[in-house]
Amino acid sequence: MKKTYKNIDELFIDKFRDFEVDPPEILWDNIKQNISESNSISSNFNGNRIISVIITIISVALITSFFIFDGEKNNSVAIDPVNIISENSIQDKENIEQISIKNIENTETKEVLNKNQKVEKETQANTITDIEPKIEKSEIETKTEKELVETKVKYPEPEKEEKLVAKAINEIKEEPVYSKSEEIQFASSDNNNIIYNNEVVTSDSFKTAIVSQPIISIEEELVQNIIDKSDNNIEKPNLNILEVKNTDNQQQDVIDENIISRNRIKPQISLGAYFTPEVIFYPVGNDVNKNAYTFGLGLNLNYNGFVIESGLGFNFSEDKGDYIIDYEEYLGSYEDLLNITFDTSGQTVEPIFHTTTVEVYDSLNKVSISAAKNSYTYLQIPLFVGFVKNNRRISYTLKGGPIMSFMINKNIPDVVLPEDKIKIIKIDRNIPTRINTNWQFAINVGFAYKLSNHLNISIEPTFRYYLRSVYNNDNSIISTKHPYSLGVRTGLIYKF
Amino acid sequence: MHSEKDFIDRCINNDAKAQEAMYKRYAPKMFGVCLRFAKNKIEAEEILQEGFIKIFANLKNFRHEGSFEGWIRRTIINTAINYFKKKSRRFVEIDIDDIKTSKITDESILDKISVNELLNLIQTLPNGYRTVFNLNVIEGYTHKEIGKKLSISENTSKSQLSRARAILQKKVINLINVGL
Repeated sequence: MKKTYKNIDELFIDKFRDFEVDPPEILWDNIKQNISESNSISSNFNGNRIISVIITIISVALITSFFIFDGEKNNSVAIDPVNIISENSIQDKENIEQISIKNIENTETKEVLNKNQKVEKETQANTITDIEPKIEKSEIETKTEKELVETKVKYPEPEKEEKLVAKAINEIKEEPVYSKSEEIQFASSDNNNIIYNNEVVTSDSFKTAIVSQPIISIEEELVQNIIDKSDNNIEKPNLNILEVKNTDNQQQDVIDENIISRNRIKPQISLGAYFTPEVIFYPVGNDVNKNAYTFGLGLNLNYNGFVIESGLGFNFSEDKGDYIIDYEEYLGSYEDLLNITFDTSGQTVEPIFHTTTVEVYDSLNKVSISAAKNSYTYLQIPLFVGFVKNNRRISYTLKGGPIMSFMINKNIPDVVLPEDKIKIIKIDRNIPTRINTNWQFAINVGFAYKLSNHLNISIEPTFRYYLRSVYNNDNSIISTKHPYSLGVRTGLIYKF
Repeated sequence: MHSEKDFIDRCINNDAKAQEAMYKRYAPKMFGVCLRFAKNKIEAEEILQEGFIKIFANLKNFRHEGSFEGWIRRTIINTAINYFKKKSRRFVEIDIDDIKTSKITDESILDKISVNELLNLIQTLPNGYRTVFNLNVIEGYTHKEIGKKLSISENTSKSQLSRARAILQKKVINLINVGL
């Protein structure tokens, strides 16, 4: 039975309804091989992705905790040794002044001191060269001094440490405190022998010990001394140089803290020139991926491990598409006779032909499809915040923030006609048009290498997510999609 | 007996036998689709291969909400469209002279034309015409859908379809006149 078809559509629909053709066997082999390869890659990728995520999380946590809990240590690198010395000197002066003030206020102490001097002169004691006091010395001391020494020497009965500490503090309050100036005075007036803690010691040892030793350390030593006595160790304060140095170190730490705190609030400013090539991905197919390039200047403010950056950039992007032109081909022209008039002014009658030129185009349409390329320039203003970690010559950064893009120039070339003289019926532009303003959110992870004290180079892999499509909402499907881009931001940075 | 869902799940879990069975079940029909969209057999094989790789890679995304065969067919058609999108960015000029003069006078004679002859006719069409004709006439897509898929306007789709029809009509008449 013959079928009849009303039109050509029915013919094709009917014939192709159950149209099947066996494909070559080799196709399945290719597909099978590809599937197995992609499965192995996929499983490896999943594993690598998990490891990468874990490493990233750990790295971010470490970097963050480093900046939060260890920021002070990082800044100590920037301390100027000259400043430390001068600060130390100032601190020493302050200690000496403190001692002097205490001496001046304590008039009773001065009196005791005078008594000591008198006693020394009266008894004409032998010079004691050893810094360790000796028990025999108590014989040549005054009654008050004897009591003090006996208090220190005896301790047959064990006392609790708390009581001893309290007692020692009371003792130190009663005992004289010497200033540097007083010590010098004694040395010059008394054959280099002076009295310290009611004992005669050589001025050389004492000078070394007392010059930079603050009152508190003397108190501490006495307390420690009393505690030691509770263990039946009868010792006088050990004024050796090492302990003085330890005290100096403690002072140094205090000074360091002060200097660090001053340095911490000093921000570091740098200016960078950047170049960023990037590939923009559209989630509608591989053939609409775009390339873009950005040149920019960025101003960085590095503040105690945190960084804030802004600047200006010029982004250059291109779109490729098609123009489809429906046209009629030019065939030629002819002169169309409008009318004829006759000139009878002369002896003969002259006909005058009034014509118009008519162009002739082929009545059959032609189609021309030509490639098109539109170029755009954007002004971009980024605002990044993040962290920076300095490690000798290399510093690591993690930054993120919004970028605002303004279109400042566009170059949309005219349609290229297939022939000079044609009659255009219609032009379809299969190339989307762009919007003037768009926002992106970018994350940069990178490092900078220190070329000199002021110059660094940096490389920052960049991920950028477009908060809306860059295209107008026309008939193009990509206008509804959010593209993203991957790029590498390279820069030359000058630190002020 | 295993359901279609179990069958698909086995394919997702990389069961090689299930994958091969699925391919053998649907490949002949899909190869027919590819031949219609392609210019020749080699292109059709490339599209089929690429399409089935995509199918196996994206099987986990199939939601079991519609026909599985329909999902496979759409994947193959999308693969074909992307395949030709990559190739379509070049200057093409098509001469479509004396189309308007062609008329089919005896519809009954059309039945004598084989499917392979019609396939050859379709494959001679320019890529854009062939794609629009296939999508609209045989696959049933609207011009709006075609416009979105091909990133062209609705009117362009319509005009390309009318031209494709005209060309095919002319070639069918020539075929009848020469061969029958």
